[in-house]
Amino acid sequence: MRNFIRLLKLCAPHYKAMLLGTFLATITVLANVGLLAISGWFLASMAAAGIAGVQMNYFTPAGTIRFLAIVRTASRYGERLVTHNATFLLLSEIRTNVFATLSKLNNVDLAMSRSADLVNRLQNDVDALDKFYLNVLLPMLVALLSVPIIMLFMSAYNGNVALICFTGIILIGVVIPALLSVKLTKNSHKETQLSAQLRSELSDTLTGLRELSIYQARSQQLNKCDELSEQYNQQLFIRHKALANSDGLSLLVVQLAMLASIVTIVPLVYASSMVNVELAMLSLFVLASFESVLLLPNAFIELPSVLKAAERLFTLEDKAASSQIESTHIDVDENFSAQNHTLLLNNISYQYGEQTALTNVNFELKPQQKVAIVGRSGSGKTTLVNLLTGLWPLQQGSITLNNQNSVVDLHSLNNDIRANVINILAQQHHIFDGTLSENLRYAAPNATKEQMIEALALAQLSPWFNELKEGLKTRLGTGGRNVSQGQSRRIAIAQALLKNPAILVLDEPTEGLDNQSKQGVMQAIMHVMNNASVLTITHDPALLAQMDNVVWLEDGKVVAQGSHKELSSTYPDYVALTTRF
Amino acid sequence: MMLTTQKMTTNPRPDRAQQQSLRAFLKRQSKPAAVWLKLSIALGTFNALLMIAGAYLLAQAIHNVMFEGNNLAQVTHLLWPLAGIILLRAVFLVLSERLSAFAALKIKSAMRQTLLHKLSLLGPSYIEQHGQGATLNTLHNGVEALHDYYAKYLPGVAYSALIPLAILVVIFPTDYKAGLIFLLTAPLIPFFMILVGSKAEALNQKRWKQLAVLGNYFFDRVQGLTQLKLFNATRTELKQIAKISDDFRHATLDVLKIAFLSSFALEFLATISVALVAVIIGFRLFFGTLDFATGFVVLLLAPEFYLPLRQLGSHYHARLQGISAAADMVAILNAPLPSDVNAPVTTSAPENNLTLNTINSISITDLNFIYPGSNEGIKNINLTLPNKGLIAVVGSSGSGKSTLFDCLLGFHPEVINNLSVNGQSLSTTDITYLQNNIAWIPQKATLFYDTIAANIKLAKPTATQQELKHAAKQAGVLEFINTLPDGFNTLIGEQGEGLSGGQKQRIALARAFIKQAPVIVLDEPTAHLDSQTELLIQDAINEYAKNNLVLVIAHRLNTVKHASNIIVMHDGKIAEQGDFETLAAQNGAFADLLKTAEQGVAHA
Repeated sequence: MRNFIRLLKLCAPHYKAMLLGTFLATITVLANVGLLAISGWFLASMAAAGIAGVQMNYFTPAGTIRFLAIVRTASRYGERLVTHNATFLLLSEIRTNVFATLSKLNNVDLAMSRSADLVNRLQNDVDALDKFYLNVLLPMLVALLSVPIIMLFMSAYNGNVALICFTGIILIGVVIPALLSVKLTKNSHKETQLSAQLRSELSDTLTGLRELSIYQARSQQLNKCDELSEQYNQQLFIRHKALANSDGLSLLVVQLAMLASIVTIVPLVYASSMVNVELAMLSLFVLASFESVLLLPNAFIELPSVLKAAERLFTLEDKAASSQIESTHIDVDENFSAQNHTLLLNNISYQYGEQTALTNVNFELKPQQKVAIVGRSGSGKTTLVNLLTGLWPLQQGSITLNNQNSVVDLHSLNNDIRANVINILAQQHHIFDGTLSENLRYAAPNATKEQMIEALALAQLSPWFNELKEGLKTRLGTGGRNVSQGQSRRIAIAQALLKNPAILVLDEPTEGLDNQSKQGVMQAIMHVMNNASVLTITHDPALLAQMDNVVWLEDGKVVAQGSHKELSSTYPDYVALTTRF
Repeated sequence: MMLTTQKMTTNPRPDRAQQQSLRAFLKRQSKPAAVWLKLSIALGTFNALLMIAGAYLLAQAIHNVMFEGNNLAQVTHLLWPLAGIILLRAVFLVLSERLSAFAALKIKSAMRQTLLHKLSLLGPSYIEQHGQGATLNTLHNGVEALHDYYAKYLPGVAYSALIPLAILVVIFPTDYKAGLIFLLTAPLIPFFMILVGSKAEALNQKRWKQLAVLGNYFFDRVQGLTQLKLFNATRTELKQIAKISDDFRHATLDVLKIAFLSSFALEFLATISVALVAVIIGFRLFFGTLDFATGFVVLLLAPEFYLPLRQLGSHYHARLQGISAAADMVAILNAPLPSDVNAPVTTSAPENNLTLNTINSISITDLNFIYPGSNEGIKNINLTLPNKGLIAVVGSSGSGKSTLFDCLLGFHPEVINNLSVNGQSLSTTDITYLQNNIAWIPQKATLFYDTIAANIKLAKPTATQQELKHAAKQAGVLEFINTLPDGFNTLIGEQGEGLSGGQKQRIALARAFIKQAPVIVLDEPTAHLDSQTELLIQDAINEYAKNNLVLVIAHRLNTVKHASNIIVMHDGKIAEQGDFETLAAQNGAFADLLKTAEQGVAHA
């Protein structure tokens, strides 16, 4: 319930559009109910008048019927436009909210829930919430508004019929959907599980096709997939059966409610305590009144998943709010410049739960110095980079920027200054869905066209850039032009060049590239290195040879430090580690 | 952050002609469950007939009470059958919906099976070319997207023709004038729907990309969030997200305005027709040219006449989704197989190890393989491999090492004729024979979502516990397995989740050892595994190479130094071969590679 209210609060800024939509939707429903009821009454009255041979005013009802028909259609169109507009307004609200939350969240919380996983889940959750108004709130509001009006009119004719109809509406609108929702929720866990299992089995089969062939296990694995696919489908069938049952049950309730109303009215008509034309009118009135809860079952079915999604997002929001309070930055001078500062890592230790990632790591990066970190996978390199971003809190030790006069804690700098001092070039560089210049301007919002082109040239991207017909306006990313891994790294370098930071951290910049791209990236890096202190993770001998100092990490500890030459001549293990064909 | 979700499809939406052929394709695929689908539609139609009968009973009962002065007892003979009909309708509705869902499930299962089988024949290189992620999506979500197409849209199409027809057939004899109104308005609905629909579709076609980009913007930025934080750009980005969401709203509403017009036209016609029918019938009743029972039946049936058409409009999305998914499937099913791969590739392994000792040499003669649609591949390969020893293959990336291995492992059936064993040339039917004698360890071994034992025994399902332990010991992973609470029965997560790279590699090694094949082919991991694993793999393959042939794509200096023969690949050709000392002394391709690998070390 708490989450439901928080969701309503999110809707609050757009209550006008939402209420207008609700109003129009209610009008649509009422017009339709009225249309059918009046048609029934009109037909019966005309027949009665015809048989009795009396005159009647048929202009008013005939006109009303036509009027209601037009109202219904027009308000339906208007309702759809207004409600969709409101849905998109809410969507915008939700998305900005979630993004604000995520940007406040500290990166450990993000990384702990495995970023890729988080993004996947987030996407589903946001999708579920996007439809909160249209699929959940609107049907509920419409039912709340229209059912009392319908009941009021119906009870004016006959209280018992109104009671029968109300019972039916509650059954169809609330009881059956609630039962169904419980059943589906119970199943959905198993569905998700089987779906994930099927996905991973299919994924294994596709990646392992070579092994399966060599080991003659292909048909065996295909059978396993078929079985799992069948099992998943059987599980889905439980859902579909439940949905079919509820549809059948709803039909039964609607029709029986009408039949019960007739059975109630017939004796009254026979006893002449009710006008005979009202029988035809009321039977159609009852039938039509169920339209007021037509969309309610779906709302109940979606409600649990919407609330679950809301809960997850609100939990993140609360976490972000609390972490925001903890980390207050001591503001240093606005004009703080890290030029001529030494980056000093002092006694850094870090643990993930029980597991130790770094133990007492010490080293320094002097102004303009180039330092490399070498180590096997799991030696703690990535943790070190994460700490240097300043987005991860330190557990033990300190990272400081020192010069003759001052010592400044890296983590005490505010985001603006820190982003200008230190630039991290991650291994998985995200190319945003947008133009090339938009991508570059993320690093330097005020960069001019000339500056961008120059940076691209220095990043060895000129041949590629000159081929682009639309130049800086070329779209990149998911919706645009594909860039290779090497190009992506060089775009990152171009961003770094535009940013021109005092300290640059590179995470395996040449890993996984073919020779040609590697050379391009290397050349680009040389340009960046000209006026910055550089810290790079790498195993590439070509890059290592350019470094002033190499820090060799093993199991979270520094094994040795020295130049590449020194380490190579002293440690055969180091040579084995850095030599790769 | 990794790019794992690609919500936005960059495929353009199929145009009208493509949609036609895709629908025909989907229709053909419904065969495995055609009976169930037809039965479901039959039940649904029968349900409509019952509905018509119910309308007659209801109208007659109301007529009798209103105008014949009947009491409740006098109309029970009408109301009881009506109650029976209501019950039957509920039952039939449930059955019909269940059957169509069941049919959809059958079709989905069959489709997934067909696709997977075809993909297994097309082989790994096809999957790599088309992207593993995209292929997986087609197999998983794509197939699921067909559900509503079969369970809802297809029956809906049938109903939109059958039910109005049934109502017309019943109405005409009772009152042909009302029938005429139905008959004349009915074609207007599809006409207007198509007219407006095609305009909306055209607008959609024109703007799908813009809409997709706007819709995707938010998720794209979330994926790149860490980077935005590092650039300290989150604050400005927040404003941008609000703005883009607003643009998205405007752009979508523009399309919706037109799209909703189509349902507006439909609703308008249906509602106005019902109102018109009501008014006309009212006057006929007034003038006594029609009895009330008949008039009331017409009024009851009027909305039902238009209902199937209106419902069809609401399945529009199911239709589009099904058709879009079908496009990817057709692409896979129509992909040409590598030349005659009809050979029974999946026949079981020959009994015992009859062939174990019979491999004396493997030769490759005049082998050329170019990937279709490119000029990458390997050329003029001539090579003879002995029956024992460590052979290292080196070369820069893209030099053709992996392609050479794929050919040797039988993954390109079109070139198997260029392979011979003991001087005897192989034919496509011999792929199994060849593969039976090879164990293979790729750079990143695939561990299946199963127990450790099952993963190792994949190579030899009949292996005893003894053999299992022996292989694990050889691979240096027995100790680790014994520390696990469930030992060999420990379940491995997706892609070996929870295991380190070294542990995964050792399990793959155990898998290769248990096969006891005369040839082991190994693609050495480039990742910097722990030194223990590296040493262990080194020792194990050296040991194995004493009595067997070990062929390795080498990335490590030590491996190359220990090799009895080094094959140097360059630009798809064999540039040099020989042992380490000989090649290092020559000023050739190998010396170049060595220099690159050791740059900075060589002159130390």
